[in-house]
Amino acid sequence: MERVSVSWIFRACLLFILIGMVWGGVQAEQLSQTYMPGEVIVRYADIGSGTAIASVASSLNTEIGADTIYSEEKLGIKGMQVVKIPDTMSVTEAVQYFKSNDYVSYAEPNFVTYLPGPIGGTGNSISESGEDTPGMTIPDDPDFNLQWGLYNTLNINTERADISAPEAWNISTGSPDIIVAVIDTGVDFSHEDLADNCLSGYNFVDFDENPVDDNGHGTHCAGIISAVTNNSIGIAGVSWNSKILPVKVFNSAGKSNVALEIMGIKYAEREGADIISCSWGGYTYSETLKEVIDRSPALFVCAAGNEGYDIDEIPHYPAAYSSPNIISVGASDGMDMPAWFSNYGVSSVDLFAPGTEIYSTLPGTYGFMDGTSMAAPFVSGVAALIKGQKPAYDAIAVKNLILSSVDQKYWLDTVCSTGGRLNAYRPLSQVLPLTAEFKAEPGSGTIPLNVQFTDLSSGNPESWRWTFGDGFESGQQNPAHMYMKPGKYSVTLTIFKEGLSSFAEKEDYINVKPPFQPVKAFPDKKGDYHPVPTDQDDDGLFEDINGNGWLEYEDPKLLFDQILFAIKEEPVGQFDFDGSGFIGFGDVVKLYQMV
Amino acid sequence: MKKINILGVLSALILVAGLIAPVSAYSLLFFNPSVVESNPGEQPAIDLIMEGCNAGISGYALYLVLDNPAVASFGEITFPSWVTLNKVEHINSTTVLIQGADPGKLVEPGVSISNLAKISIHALKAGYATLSVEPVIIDDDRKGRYDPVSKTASIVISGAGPSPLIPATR
Repeated sequence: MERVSVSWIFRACLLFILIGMVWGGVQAEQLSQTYMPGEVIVRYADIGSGTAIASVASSLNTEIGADTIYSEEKLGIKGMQVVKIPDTMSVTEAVQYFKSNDYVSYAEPNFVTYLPGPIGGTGNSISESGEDTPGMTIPDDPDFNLQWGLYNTLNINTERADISAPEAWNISTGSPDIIVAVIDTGVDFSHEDLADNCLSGYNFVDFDENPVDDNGHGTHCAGIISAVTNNSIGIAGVSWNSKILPVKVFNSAGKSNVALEIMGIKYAEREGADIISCSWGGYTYSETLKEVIDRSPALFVCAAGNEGYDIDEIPHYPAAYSSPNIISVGASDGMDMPAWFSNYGVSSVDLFAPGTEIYSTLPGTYGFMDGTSMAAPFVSGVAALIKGQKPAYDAIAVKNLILSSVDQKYWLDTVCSTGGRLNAYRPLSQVLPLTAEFKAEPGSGTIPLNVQFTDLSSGNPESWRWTFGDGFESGQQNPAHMYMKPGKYSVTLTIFKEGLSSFAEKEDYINVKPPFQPVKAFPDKKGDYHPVPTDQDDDGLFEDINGNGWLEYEDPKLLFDQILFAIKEEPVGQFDFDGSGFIGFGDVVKLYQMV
Repeated sequence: MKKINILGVLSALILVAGLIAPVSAYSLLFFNPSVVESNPGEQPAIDLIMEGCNAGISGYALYLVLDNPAVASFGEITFPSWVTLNKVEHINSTTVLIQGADPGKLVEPGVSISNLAKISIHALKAGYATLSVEPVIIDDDRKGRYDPVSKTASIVISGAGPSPLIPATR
């Protein structure tokens, strides 16, 4: 125990020093360079044909001696260019120059973006996971027990702080038709735990088709989203089967710019990406980046940033853009608290997701990382699971479903708009097909028997109609019903939603027994007695009239022969097979039919 | 106030009556023929019939009584085909218990009249005897019980022996 404490103190100190060193360096660079030297993004207004735009652009560029670096074709956006201005002109002057032209919608520097400040990458010891739990799907990946964000076995004395992934996997493990673009430092697409789920991708740093990860950040994010799972290797991804599209726009130092990012986004769109995972951002507002995101049909999942800021006050983009197709993600820890480093904002951050001590893939290996960069891929993975279940859902629908299904934590009310942490199971459970299912407790007992019925239907029904088999009905979701007469009752549940319905029936589901009363042996023809009757199926009725241990035709015959004895000597409840309230020939006939 | 009490008692009685085994509507047990003329040594047969069994019959238990055993006694008692479970128990020289049940549900609701048994009578000597039926239970197919009115049959045994058949003359 003491050893562990010393170890943690040592790690904390080391982490602090490391953060200070690295973060200090990054900040120094940011201060010195917020945009690419001499580069300006120019967005022309829609003035008709491409020729007209080209003519205006050429004229404006020529006038100041600017050269086109990325054409509208390369950027993939009509009317947009990135130009290199001559050294004799400042970027600020160039932006003003272009803005002053009536045919220019906006112009801005090509802002530099950095990956969120690195928080850590320490090795951790996490306790073994428990046994498989009913209602869960536990994969066989050997390091799954290190992935507390998926299934938290670390803090066994607290509530689960994970995203309920095993419960979600009981519903869906994702679809290979869903593509998640990881716009980042590239992905180790040959990694043993990623290769089968990786598409080809593109490298916008070197402009080639080799989006190799020379940093590690993108590979870590990709593994969280969609590592190959249940393959007896390494780790599990949130969405086992969806595809990763590696889009490298950050170099080995974790540096990129808006031009590369929008090229990466447009490429991802062309490749059919449904979800674009953006574990990066900056504090400079880019009109260009916002416009590209606004116009995209994809869902953007964006890290909120790692500076501990309230980004309602100090916006971090793209997470803080107001675009309806952005989900902004903060990082939570194993105690379900906001991570100490996580940015937050009751307006600008939508939800939190696990972001500390996250174990995932790294180029050629595996390891731990911390950050909102790790939290965002959890959300991307869940979005992929939902999209796989509901391909017709657009980005807004997927976003709304995720945000309306968080695990509410009151202490998150002041740090994000939903006041909750990501849950993978709940949104999936809401998009299941409408299927009626129920249970009852208890299923058997003596009269009067009060039974609690529980709706287990999927698909979020809007109304319910129960029949209890004794002539009574209910429209409640979880009704209780009192049975007053012995018998076996069949129960039905019909659920309704938006004009659709689903029906479930359980025959002889509720077994209501008469209060027990001792029964007497029936006389035989020799003046002696048969063995005492027995209850063969524990329904409170003594069908085995001759007491030989099973029900046969001799039993109704004996009841017939000794009907006057039965009427006089036996308790009604135990022999009232037809439910008439008395012993009679109706019971003989019923028992005969029961044989 | 008194009126209310009376109404209350009546209501309670109706309620109690309802809780007790429901009784089917009017029904009748009778013999056919209702008068049998016979001679000593003969074995006339009489059908026991139930009318008004509109709710079907699941089974019955009845006592048959011949009040003058010196004049007539019970012979064979047989049952119609729907009575696949049956029983005849001679209680004493004048009384038999007969039981029948319909496990095959052949006499279902809607059949208003049904044969319950065919009773052969041994005509022993000249005189009168009365055949009567005392229902113990007759259950319908709707978890109810009949409470029928019953009629007797008269057995008349003439003094002479069997009348010889005289060939017809041309």
